[in-house]
Amino acid sequence: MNKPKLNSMQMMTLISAGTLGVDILTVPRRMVESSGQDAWISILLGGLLTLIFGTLAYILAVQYPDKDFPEILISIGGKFFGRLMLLIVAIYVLLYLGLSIKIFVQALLVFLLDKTPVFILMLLMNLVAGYAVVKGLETIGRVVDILFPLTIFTIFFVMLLALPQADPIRLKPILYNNDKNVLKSIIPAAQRFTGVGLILYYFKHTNKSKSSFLWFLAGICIPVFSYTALTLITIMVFGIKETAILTYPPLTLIKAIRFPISFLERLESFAAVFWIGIVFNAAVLFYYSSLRNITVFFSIPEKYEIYAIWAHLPLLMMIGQAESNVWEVLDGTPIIRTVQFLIVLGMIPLLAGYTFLKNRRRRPGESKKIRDLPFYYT
Amino acid sequence: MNIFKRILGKRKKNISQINFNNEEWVQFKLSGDIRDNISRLCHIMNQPSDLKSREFSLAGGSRKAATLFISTVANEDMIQEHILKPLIMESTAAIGKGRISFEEIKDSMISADKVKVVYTFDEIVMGIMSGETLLTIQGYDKGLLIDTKGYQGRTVGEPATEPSVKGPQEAFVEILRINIGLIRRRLLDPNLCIEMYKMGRRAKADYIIVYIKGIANGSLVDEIKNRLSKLDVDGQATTAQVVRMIVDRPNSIFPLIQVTERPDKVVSALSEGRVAILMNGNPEAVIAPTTFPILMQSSDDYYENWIVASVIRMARLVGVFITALLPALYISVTAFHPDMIPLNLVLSITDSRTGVPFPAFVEALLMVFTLELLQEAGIRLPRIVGQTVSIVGGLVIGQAAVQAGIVSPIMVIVISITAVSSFTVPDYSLGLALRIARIPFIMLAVTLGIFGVAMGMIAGLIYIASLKSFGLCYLEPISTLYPADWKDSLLRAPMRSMRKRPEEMQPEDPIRMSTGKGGQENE
Repeated sequence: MNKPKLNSMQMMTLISAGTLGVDILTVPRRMVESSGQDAWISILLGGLLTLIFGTLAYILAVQYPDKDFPEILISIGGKFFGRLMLLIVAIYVLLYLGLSIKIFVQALLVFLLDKTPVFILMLLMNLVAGYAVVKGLETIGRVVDILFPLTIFTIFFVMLLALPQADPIRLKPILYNNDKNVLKSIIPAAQRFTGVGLILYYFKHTNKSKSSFLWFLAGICIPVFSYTALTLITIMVFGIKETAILTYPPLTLIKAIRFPISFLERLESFAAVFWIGIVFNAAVLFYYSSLRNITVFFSIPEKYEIYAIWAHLPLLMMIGQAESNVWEVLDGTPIIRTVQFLIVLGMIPLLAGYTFLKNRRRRPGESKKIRDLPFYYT
Repeated sequence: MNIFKRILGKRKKNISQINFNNEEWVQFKLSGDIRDNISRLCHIMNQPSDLKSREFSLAGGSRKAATLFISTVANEDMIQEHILKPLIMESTAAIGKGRISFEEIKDSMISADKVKVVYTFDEIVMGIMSGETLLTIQGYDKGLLIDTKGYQGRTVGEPATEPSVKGPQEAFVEILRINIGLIRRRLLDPNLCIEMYKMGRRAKADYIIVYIKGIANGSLVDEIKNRLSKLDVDGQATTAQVVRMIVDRPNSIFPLIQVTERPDKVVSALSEGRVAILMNGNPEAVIAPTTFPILMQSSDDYYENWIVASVIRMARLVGVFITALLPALYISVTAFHPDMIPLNLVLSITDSRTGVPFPAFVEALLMVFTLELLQEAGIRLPRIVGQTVSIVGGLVIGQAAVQAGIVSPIMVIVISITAVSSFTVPDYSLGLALRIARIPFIMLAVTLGIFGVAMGMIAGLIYIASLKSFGLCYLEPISTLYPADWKDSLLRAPMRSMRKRPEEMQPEDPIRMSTGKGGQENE
């Protein structure tokens, strides 16, 4: 096996950065639409559900410590069914990546560069993400390590500045005649934490230690906490009616901030700049995952991976060009969400359960080896 | 790409096929006739005017001998005092004892501290060229090569490019021996290893690899030795030139080695487990591996309180961003996002730009280029004239350009701040790299505004994160890989808390400081 390129602590930064992607711009609106003033409860419960499914994904990854997700799929499903499952996953990851960048670029058009063609912005974003993938996993890990604290700082700085305008009364009544909506929204909320699935791509390259699992859990908890807090603040500032009609509530939230010192005229434009880092992190992590899907699917040797990386470029540009209207893009994502639902909440738990039981039955005498593995074996 | 490789590959092969004379000199051996030896040496060395020979008689004229040396690199007083005088006097005193043997001459009659028996002309030529003296004696087909190196050099002075407020005021000089002394004096450690090698196909140059055995990682030392031994250079080069040829990414604009003229910096690096390379004739040491945070550190950081040092380091980091980004940010804000800044400031900028015929980016490029010219002129000219040029360039031309309406006053301010910030970067090469980096940022700002600058920053970060210096990532320890090393990176923790050496260097002895109050700590 190759030398690990990532350490266990990077599990936290990678999972958090992968989850806190473009969704952060739309989560408050989407959740308020479905569960009103109790949206934050749905996110918390969705986060709990994500912890469970995340643990299942982790279990699956641990069963195959020297394989990543596409290799696991081929290993379990064989050449035909494995490749079929991989094809679904590959299409999903590619679409998710392309549309995420598209949504973000649309936000940039509104808040930063209203006259620049979408094509140019998407091209630059994809080029830089592709460049990071060319440089390899170690470089990706380091870049995410550096950008991630900025991500968190930006989110919490925005929330802190918005606090004076927050009115807790807007959260009331809590769970009043709304419990059904809250429960119904748990799964849509859990779907916002797609990045959890990245564990299956990056665990192979991690320096495995006893703390890996804890770092992974921390990686889930950070976005859950961030999304909950952001939704709470947005509701407290705008109320549910206004939040439901805002395209990008967090950016509008920044607009609403009354900064005591008039140094910056449009804080939201500056925040949009910081948001570039947030989206870039997620984009590059999904880009690498997509690369792995494609290289394994087509059995591309390592030395030709560079062609597979740049082959993403026209595909992503086509996905971005397919729908030009922002509302169309936003409405189109439920299809992706459904596929994602099938993968994260269906395929992964099933595979995890299947391999766990299979390995237990096949290797009863390997207790010594099992003792070295994480907590759930002991 | 393959075509280039093929062409370059062939070229390399051709060079290595050339045979130089010094490889053939092995065949030429000393003869028993001193005249023959002298003429052969003169022939090999192309009759140099500073090659001097002196023939004299041993033991009252019973045997002829001769010394050969290059007067410009050998110490003639030493030759007189330690070779000629004792030889003539001792051999005369030994007349009654019978025949004087070669070994007797070597062991009892020469008082120089380093004497070597030589047989072939390859050793003789290299020795003589480096200041040694050949003693050839009639009747013996071997000679003595005596160390009489003594060329003139400047005395140890103050560091010119790395001044320190409170630190030592000594800098390396061109003489390797003195430089070794400067290191040894600060590092009284018997494990200090100084390994000397020769480099160069034509002109051989002495270079040393310095490290502390038991601290420096063995594989790092071996890797550096291995890479240096594979170098096939023609002749004399500077240490930095040579080491730049063996770094992981020779085309990188960012310095992947640390070049210093301060012995205290070398000692500090050695005690962290890094390796220094020094070459004779070069007043500098190269430290490898190096990282971006290391290049941002100054000697003075360790002479100040940790809070003060940390604040100064942060100020330097801000300086880095200003150096690379301020002109680009100014252009992007004024050209693309004027709504980002307060209205009064926008009006002030617009007012100051009234009458300027160029767009902001042409203005910026013009000023950046002028600044580079001024900086370059300031370095090339003698110090006193250089100051005059700076004053004329900075104040007179700047003022005149504003009054003539070629550039706006605000642009002069932006470029001046950028120039001042670039001087806060402690490493000169890193400062140069950042100065170059601002040009692509200006281009990105012109085309894509602040989004372009942000993407450029991310691309730059990716590039820097992918760099490696002798296997060590250039951004260490700014990542989660070695959290313990954060204590001495962009900030500086109290010295007492830095008990361990940097983990990133993977030192063989990780403990640097005891935890107890004076007692020694066991691993």
